[in-house]
Amino acid sequence: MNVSVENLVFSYRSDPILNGVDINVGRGEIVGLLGPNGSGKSTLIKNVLGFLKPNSGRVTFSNVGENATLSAGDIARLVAFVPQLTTLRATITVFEAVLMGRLPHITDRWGGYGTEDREKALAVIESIGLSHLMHREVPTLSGGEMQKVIIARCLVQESNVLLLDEATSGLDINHAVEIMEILRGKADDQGKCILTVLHDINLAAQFCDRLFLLKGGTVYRSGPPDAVLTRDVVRDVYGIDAIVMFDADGTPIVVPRRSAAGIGIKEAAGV
Amino acid sequence: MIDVHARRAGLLSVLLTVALLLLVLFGVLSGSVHVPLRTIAAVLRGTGEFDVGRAIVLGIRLPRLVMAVLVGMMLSLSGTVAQAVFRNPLADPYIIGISAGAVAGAVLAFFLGLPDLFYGFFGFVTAMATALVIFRIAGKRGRSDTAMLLIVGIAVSSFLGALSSFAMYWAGEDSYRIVVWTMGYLGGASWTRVGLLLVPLVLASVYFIYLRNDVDALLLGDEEAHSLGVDVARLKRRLLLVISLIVSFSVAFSGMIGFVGLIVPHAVRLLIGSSHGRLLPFAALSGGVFLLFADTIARTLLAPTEIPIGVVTAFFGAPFFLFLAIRSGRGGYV
Repeated sequence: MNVSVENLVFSYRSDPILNGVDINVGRGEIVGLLGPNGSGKSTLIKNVLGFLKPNSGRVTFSNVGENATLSAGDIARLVAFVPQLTTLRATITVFEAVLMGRLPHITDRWGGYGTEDREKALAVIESIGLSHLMHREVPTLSGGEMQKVIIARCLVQESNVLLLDEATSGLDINHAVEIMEILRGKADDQGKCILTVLHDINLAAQFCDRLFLLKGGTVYRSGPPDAVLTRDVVRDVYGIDAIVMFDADGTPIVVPRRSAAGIGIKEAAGV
Repeated sequence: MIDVHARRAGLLSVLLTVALLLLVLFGVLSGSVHVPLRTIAAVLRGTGEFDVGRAIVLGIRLPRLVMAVLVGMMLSLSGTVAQAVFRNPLADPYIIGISAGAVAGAVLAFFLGLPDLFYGFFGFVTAMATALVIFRIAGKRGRSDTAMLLIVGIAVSSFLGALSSFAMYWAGEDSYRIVVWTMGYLGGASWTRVGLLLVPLVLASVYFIYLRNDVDALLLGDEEAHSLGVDVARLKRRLLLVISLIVSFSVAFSGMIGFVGLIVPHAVRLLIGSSHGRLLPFAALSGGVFLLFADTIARTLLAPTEIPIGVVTAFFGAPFFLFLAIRSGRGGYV
């Protein structure tokens, strides 16, 4: 399975958000979407998900077809979605929340979730390390735990494509890395194709195979992290000065430098 | 670790059954005319000769008890589902104005001199229109903002309330019929009305249970529900349609009874969780028992004078509503 976005144009009323975006994600690949706030990253994810309809252009899933021709149910069997950390206020248990990932696979609405669905949910809960929280009510969990529940739900969905919209924002660094490790494992072992919006450039550099930097609704640069994350590109996209270093593996590390007015620091932190 | 929700559900079902039996027993025994227990036992067994006692129990008391339970179920179910649609624990059809919409239709049918059944149908059309207006204004952006929902509720209820008040003024001597609609009254119970309530209740219950897992997905928000394959806009429209159906029939035959759709689903949710497969039947049963309890108080507290049942439910419900409103500002559960 791979996903391709071709010449996608989208506007909210008359405000153009995406002006002809081309992106592709291959099997077993993690592709990171970077860019400042308002550059159209989340809008792009929602278009791939079919939640928003583009003005023109198309999103195609290989072997299956264009998302415009598919129902919400069809797309849900192909694509799972992890939103930004939100506080889920429904009093459902972790098990119930994860089991919801089987909703697109229910064939008999009367019967509801079957034994197979429950077993799959249990297996994923176990594999993500949530077994001890299984009967806890979701609103009582910490942010990191809650986001793992959502990841578990997406894995139970058994879709080949995972879309993540800033799924690690708001998490502390160990939970953010833990979530990215889970995703890396799914891409490598199961060939999932993963498109993720990230704010943390360094997290993206470490875990993504390729990056797309969005600016003003178009792709400004794309390619492997070490090719894309240069001082010039960071300045052009984010408007800040940064030092770009490389670790022992050749992964770039971007450290924003404080400008005279101190604006640079704020921008890099996504404020 | 055991699933707490399941354990509490077991306990709750026992409590509700006992409460229901006791209230029914008390309900058939109490009233202005003394009917001996022997007569009641005979009536319930289906034997016994015709006498006044039998007529009172079968023709007056029992239909009223059954109607209280059915109306309570309808109010509680409609509240439960409306709260999922609006993703807001305060989205009770009474508070947000759907019930007032139903009254307007019922009043119209009354003015046109149409038979009972049409009160429900007219109420349904106006309740549905009201629900869609409320949803369009306050429910568009996924989770409904509490302040917006309440403001829209006040505005819609005031507008429709003004229409009903005008109708009361216009009706002259018949105005008491409209007053009954605005305060809630179960005294008009009859087996025919029980039948007329039973049809929409059964249809709605079956529909809600059929879609229980989709309704669960709505709790996650529009985008996530969509990502789980739910056609969110279509589902919400259909649920609002069915909510309007049961609200309008309950209002047409028992008037506006507030707060049941607010207190009961919330309390049940706290006990057994928000998973609708379990929540819906328990919310329905609890709603039935609660309204029967409220009606028992309404009939007996100041007997032989009867307190309008809407007054009794508001007495319990309004403080609870305030509590919820304060809590919801800090993040109440749906």
